[in-house]
Amino acid sequence: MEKGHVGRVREVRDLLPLTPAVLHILLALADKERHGYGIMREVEGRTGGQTRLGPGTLYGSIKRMLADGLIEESDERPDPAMDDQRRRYYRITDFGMRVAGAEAERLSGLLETARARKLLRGRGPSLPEGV
Amino acid sequence: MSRSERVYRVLLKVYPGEFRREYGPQMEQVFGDLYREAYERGGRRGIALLWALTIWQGRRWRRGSGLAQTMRR
Repeated sequence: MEKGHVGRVREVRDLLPLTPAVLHILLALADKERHGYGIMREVEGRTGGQTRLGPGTLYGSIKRMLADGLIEESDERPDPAMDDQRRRYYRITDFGMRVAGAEAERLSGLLETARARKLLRGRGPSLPEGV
Repeated sequence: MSRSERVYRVLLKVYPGEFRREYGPQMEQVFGDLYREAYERGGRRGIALLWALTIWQGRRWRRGSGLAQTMRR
């Protein structure tokens, strides 16, 4: 359970399924703290340019994720080369890690179903391109 | 500040006031980063593509796939 900024106690399952934007942001923050532009770059790079978060989608998601306790602002400035007073850094919380893991397991279950019904080209344990 | 960045600052008024006050400066910062990157990569063509993408994403956001979707809970 986690208490978000709005004071409600939330369970992991209450937040599932995540929107694609929220899941991408959690994945981007899973290994290190990043600022908004860093999150955008990581998502674009990881998806080979297929997913580009606009500033509105990015900060709309961040606002909700802060309220839900999935991420938090960081006081540290891990990227001094790109430092700016306006730039805020975000990091994933333990609750955010649990929610991201639960969503990944949910998607993995869907993938297994799709594979069992021969909807995927790949037949082995590895995923086909683009998945 | 470039003309594009000044125009973007004006266009931020399409977002709700509270959201704009809280995140507007960061969104300006990010757009500035995107602007410089687009210019370095593609010059004027890069800037045109950036604006096309920005307008498309802004229209999607307005239609509810942005803040409304991420705030649905």
